[in-house]
Amino acid sequence: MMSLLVIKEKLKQFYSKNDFYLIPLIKFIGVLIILSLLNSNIGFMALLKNIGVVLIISLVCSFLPMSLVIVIISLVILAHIYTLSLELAVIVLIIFLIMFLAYYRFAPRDGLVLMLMPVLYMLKIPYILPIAVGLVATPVSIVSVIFGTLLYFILKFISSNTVLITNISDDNVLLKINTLLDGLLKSKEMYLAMAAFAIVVIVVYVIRRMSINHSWSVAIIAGGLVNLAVFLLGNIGFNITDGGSIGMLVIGTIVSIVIVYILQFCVFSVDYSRTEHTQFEDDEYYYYVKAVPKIKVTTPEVSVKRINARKTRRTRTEK
Amino acid sequence: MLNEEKIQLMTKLAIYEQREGKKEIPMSKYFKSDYVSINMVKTVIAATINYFLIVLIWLLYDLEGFLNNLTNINLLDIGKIILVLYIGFILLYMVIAYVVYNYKFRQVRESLKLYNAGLKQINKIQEEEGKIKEQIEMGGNDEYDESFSN
Repeated sequence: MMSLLVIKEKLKQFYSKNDFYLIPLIKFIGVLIILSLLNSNIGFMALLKNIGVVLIISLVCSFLPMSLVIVIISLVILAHIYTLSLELAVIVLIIFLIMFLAYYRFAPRDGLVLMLMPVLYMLKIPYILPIAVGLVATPVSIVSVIFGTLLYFILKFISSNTVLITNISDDNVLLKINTLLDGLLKSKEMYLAMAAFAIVVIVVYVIRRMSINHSWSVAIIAGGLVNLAVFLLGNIGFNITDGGSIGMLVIGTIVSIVIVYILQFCVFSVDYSRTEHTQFEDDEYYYYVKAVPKIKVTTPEVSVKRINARKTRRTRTEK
Repeated sequence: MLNEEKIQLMTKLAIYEQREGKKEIPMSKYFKSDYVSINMVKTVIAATINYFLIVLIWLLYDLEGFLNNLTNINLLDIGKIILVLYIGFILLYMVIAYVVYNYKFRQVRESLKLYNAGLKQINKIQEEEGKIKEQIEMGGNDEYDESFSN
């Protein structure tokens, strides 16, 4: 445990020293992953699939604030869908607008959850997100998890029904729209995922807030178990057969628990106060200040119980 | 001469201005009731647009059935249903907005209080500096100095 704590301290120091480069780098890699996943799933626009364009967009995004990054990714999604069918792009645009007006006006930072959900789904580990949201946010963010799930199912429907959609003649605008909306509204799998994620967020949040020992770890594991239980029961109850195998569900949940545990240790529980660069003036001077947060190096309290004290002393003298 | 205490304070305030302050300092102009009501009006506008977008999607979804049954459906009834749902939707949003913005205002008030206290302290330090400077310029703090310099 002690060496883990030291690692944590080192991470913190490393971060506060290099945050100037690290944040853009993390953003760059994140956007790169998102764009390549989008390209492989709904990559209809050849221009956006060009690796150069992907790199340029990622590079630009790494210097932009989070809210703009989310707008850009939404535009990329819309562009891909537009290439496939104008009608669907309009519908998805309307759905984006509804999401924004309904929720992200109040909590713009939650947009990250919206974008991460489809990505994690494509990586087969969406179970990370509800547990993580329960750990760091309030139950209100359930809205975001649900919208993210909706977004994923929209993308999934479009990517798995490309042929069907392209085969509908262009005059039949309504049929195209109906196919999409019908596919979504009748997807039991989607409703199940939304319900399961909402329950997981609440369970994790409630346990995390309890005043018990190791409440965080207990919350993570309980979240994983609830996730498993709801999905299994739901799959049986709703008779869903195309929701992926049970093996994938179990493996995905276990992997998610492990990843959330690592995240909790390295990210959520550490206060990465950042180095700040600021400038101001008074009557006499201009000040260009770099404010570095003080790192409190916690020397972990170690109580050494010497059960075989004589032996150790002897070995030491032998040396 | 650099005054360390003042620089520390100024740095802290500058960091606040850079980060949270960007959004929070403009809020200090408002009374609570004004702030909440302005934002509720904004929310109602957003919710109205939102509601009609939802109605639009529903219409597109069921346009065929709607057009086929146009003769059988009483348009007035549908209008009534849409209106009642709209009022319910808006009321729900108003309640949410009321709670959210009251909470936000209270939170921001706290950090603004700290910010203003910091500003006052800087002012005080500056005044003291000014006094000392005047005294130095006049050559000491003897109150009769003034007459000598004239």
